[in-house]
Amino acid sequence: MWARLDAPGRVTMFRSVLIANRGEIALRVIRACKELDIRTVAVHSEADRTSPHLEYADETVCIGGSRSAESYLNMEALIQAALQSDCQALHPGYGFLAENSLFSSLCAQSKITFIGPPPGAVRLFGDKVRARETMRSVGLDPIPGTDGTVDNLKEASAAAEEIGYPVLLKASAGGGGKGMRIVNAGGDLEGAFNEASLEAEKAFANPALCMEKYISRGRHIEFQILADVFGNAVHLGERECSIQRSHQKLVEESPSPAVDEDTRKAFGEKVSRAVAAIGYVNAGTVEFLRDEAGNLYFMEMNARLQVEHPVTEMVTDFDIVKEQLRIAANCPLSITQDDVKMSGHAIEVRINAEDPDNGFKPDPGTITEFEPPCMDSVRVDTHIKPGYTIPPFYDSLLCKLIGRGEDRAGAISTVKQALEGFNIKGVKTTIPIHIEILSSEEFRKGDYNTSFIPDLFRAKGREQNG
Amino acid sequence: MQPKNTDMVRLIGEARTCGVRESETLKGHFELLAPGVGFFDMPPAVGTFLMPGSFVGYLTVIRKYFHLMMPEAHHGVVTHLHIENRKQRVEYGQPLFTVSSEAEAGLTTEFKMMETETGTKDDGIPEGMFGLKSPTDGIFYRRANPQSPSYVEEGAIVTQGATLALVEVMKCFNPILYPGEPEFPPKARVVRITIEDSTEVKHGLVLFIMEPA
Repeated sequence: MWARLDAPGRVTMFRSVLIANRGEIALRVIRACKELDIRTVAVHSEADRTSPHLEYADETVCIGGSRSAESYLNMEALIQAALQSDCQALHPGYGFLAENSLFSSLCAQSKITFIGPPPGAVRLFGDKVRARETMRSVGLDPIPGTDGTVDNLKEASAAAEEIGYPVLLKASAGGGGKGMRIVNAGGDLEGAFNEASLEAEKAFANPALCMEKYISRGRHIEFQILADVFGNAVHLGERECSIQRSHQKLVEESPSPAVDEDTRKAFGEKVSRAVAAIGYVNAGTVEFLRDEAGNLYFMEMNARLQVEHPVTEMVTDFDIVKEQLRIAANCPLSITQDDVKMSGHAIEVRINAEDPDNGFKPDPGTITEFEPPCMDSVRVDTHIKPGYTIPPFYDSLLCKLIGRGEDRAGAISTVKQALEGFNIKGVKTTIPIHIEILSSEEFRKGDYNTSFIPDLFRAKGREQNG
Repeated sequence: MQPKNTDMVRLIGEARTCGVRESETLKGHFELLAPGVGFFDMPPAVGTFLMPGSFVGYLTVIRKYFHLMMPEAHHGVVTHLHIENRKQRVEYGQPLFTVSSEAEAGLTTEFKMMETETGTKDDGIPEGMFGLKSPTDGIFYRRANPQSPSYVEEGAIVTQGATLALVEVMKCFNPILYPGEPEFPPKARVVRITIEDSTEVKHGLVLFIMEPA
């Protein structure tokens, strides 16, 4: 579907790759390149001059000032850095420019391979409405709802009958809970419609509402996909990321306790076929919301490598980043669906420099002590060293800790043990909240959903107040 | 044959201002820093006087030329280049060259802009005096910028290395320094300045009539 503008027909592996990111993921990509004997060129901003990840690269280039806009978001500087350091390809990591179609087009124009999906795919999945329509056309249904707005009560009532109660009314202009109403039955519709419309008008100066099926106790399930330029695609199973705080994932696991073997096989293959059908190339993640009946509704596709990719790597024993490099070099997929074997269970926790007792306020500072646990079946992805000062310009992710066990209970106890033995001093971290999550009965039973963290904090608030 | 696109089209980007860092080793010197990643070319020669807004080279970023400028509130003479080759790749904040903020300090053995002929009777220079000629065609300035005082007034006594004026050639400001020995006495008095401020001068035109002091 999308023509590759960069060096069509290239079959040789890149000699040098520019790592267009920072921190933990930059180091992760450098490691994958080293395993494939690729020379690495790391970029950094003024504030990251002393960042430990630079020691691992073969060459470093300072690309701009401390603010992201001057450095890691500076497309021109990144492409020029790749050109002048003789790199044939560029890995964007996640965040920053990973899902910017202008940037990947500019890379192609300068004959630099963007290690990720083609610009057209990035553009498609950046447009939520088009993404929904496209995915529906290849058999992945989004959450049932109206494609446009519902303009009056009559339309709303007709739409609600069609979708089926309970439904969610939401402001088409914005988010954040404003102008949002859950309607459980037809009798409540009139009041809810008027209230939501008024609230939307006040908050966004636009009273327009749209409607979708309300999914209570929804779970966030996502499938990892790899696709090559020849139209082959495989899935590496699913991850569950329902433990979220205001759409920021905290804990991820694979496989999901809510997905059984048959669903994984059938639905996974449906997803990889759909992704291949739209001509997607490279690694990607298709996110679904699972309702209590077990239906999976398409939410969005992340056209990039994800933060939580190690969870899948731990259970499939397959290196996603190395495969990304091979796919970008126009190699066919090195595995078929039958080669993908999931064994055991893996859980990842994101350790951020944030204070969980204080509304997750970021806590930059100098790390005085940093001793990750040394355990079998625990992987720690980090760029931190003792004495490192966290710059205040970027995100608060310090490290990712991934533990694997023979089964889910084993993985939980591995991660819990690892967290208890993790020594970080100098900044406040999210370790205590992770231990709390892993110890909770609800999590241990595997019976949780996206309201887990809000519920936990509501309960804690009650305890403190009473 | 179709010409190569990249050879034919050179896009001229906007001007960019260099960063500045005080020199750690040399007092009164500062370093000009690259404002971004790219290939740096056309540095000024050692001895060139630079003013705010002076052209200090090109930075090529993805086949676009950026005109590099001297930042506001900084001026001086280039004393040392950190860049060895033409078209050298530089990173953000890399020092390009060292500039001395005192023009006199820029007088090095490499710097010979001034012609050192003495005037003859034909130039209309009185007996016992001598003339300093313009080293090049250009525009003659008696001051660093319109707000600042003149470098020298008539009657002033100057010593070897003192700045007398500037001659601008193609946006480069060349200081006219008093050359002193061996051709001239180490100290001299400016008798007459023959040229108005900001006027065009020709190579070899007498700018200053001076006498030993």
